[in-house]
Amino acid sequence: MKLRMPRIRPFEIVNGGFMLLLCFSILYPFWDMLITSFSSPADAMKLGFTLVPDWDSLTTDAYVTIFKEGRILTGYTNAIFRSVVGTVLMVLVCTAAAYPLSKRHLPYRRGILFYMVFTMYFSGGMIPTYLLIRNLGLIDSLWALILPSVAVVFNIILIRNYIMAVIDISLEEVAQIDGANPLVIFWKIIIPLSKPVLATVALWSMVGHWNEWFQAMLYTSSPDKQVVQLMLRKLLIESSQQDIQRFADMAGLKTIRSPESLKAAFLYLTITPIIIVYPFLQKYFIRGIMLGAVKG
Amino acid sequence: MAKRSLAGNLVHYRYFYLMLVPAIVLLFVFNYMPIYGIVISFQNFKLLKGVWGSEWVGLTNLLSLFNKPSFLTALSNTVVISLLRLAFSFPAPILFALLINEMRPGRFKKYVQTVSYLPYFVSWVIVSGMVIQVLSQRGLVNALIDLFGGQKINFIGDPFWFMVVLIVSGIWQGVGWGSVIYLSALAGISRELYESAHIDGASRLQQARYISLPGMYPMIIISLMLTISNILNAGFDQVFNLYNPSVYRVADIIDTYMYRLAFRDVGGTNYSLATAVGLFKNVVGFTLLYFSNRIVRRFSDYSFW
Repeated sequence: MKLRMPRIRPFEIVNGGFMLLLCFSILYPFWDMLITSFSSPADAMKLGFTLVPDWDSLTTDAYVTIFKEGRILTGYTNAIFRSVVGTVLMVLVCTAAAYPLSKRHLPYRRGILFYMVFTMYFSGGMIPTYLLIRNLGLIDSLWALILPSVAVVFNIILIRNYIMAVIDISLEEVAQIDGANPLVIFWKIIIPLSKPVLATVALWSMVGHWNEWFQAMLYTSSPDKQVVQLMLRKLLIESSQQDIQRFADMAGLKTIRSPESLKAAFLYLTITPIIIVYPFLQKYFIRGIMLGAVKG
Repeated sequence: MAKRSLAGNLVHYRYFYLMLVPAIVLLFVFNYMPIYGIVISFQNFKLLKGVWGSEWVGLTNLLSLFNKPSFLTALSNTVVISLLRLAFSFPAPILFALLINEMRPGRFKKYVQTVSYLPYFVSWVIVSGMVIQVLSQRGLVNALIDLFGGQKINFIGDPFWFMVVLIVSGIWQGVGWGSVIYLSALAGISRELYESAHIDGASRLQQARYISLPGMYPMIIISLMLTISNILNAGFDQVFNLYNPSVYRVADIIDTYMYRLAFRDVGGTNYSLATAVGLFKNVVGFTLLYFSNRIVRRFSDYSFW
């Protein structure tokens, strides 16, 4: 086929200009926050907006103050704990459920699927769930943030569809003849061969856990159980004077004249992990959507 | 193969059922038990007395909601916000997908897509924090308004502008990611269709209208059904992180109302009443999904079940 190079139409220029504007509108707030985070918490912030910062006035004071105060480390530890443990459990439980459901001959399969899918359309809601967590004694425990999202029906269906569409059954049969029971086949064949879809759901889960703050707000209260996202909310949205004063004390400042820089630095410390994995995220998230679109 | 009894099946497929046990148990505990917990909406629930000791009041809670001006305000706010989203936020990713589709393949197109997905991956805590900063008295937008000699606007505190902020920031956050499913539909359209249309003299606009858009119909219909059945979900994460008492009049939605009813004092914490709100929301959502699915099934091949 011959490659043709059509001339540029006026529409394309308008469209391109629009896209540039859109990209600017998305990137500017991130840039603005970045500059703010490198301004000094001790000085009042300059008014107006800046595209190019005053390079000489940039300082890492805000970041230093946050690490000196130190509670962010607790927030990181807890957030990493819930993300990693929550994700590993979710992948294991969901794959273990998906594999049997991929067997067309499994008796009661339809009933079990209905039992699962029903929960996608009807839920108890905020308060009954909260009371349940209370009754289970999980209040102020990180497990309250993990256990409710271990069995994710959407992921089970996604993994099941993948297994049905992609994994070669004859491989399983060979293993069966060799005397392996389904548990061994699950561990040795199904999990390794499902890696692409598992990577997708694992990333979904990680990002979900990292960004989650509402359950953390409802279920945890003591300072050593806080996750970083909730700490950020207290500082950024609620503008907690108590938090700001604690930072001031740590930095040896009488007052913080520009809490914006602390807020912005805390914000960057919260999203940096996401930004680092963003290139992978994008790829795997999109792959996941495509997998989801393949109807099973 | 001979038909086995229940016990025979359980024994024969024991490994498979064993693998299903964790998911079934977890769903029972964390999804079905809260559904059972809805019974407290028919009680005058007291934490100390528990579900078994609390007094039964039948439909009193559910009915009393409709005599509460605060609930009715939250309900109408929710519907208004959802309808605004249906009008503006719903078509946005479809349009965006069409525009992306018109771009030449290359680095710029990839770059735009990558950037447009970014806001989806950060939480509403962060998005709201940035929105508040950019729209603050000394943020970018007010600086521009000032530059052109306009009056600075209190975006977050003024009810009208708050609604604008809600809708626009919603689009800002979701338009890129929302377009992915539509782009995947567009990718499935055969090139030949466009080529023969081109030969027949169809303009690019006509090609978009008569080839690209119909190619996205299945996805559009499914998202439309989801959007309609979610009419009582006006976006808790977003509203909760953006709103403040000065805009409660327009911004308090069912979910935020329910939250404050249960966990903050709006005339005493009331778990039963808040659960009744949740039940109402759930029943409406389920009903809307059921009927929109029936309607869609009557007119097309695309439906959930």
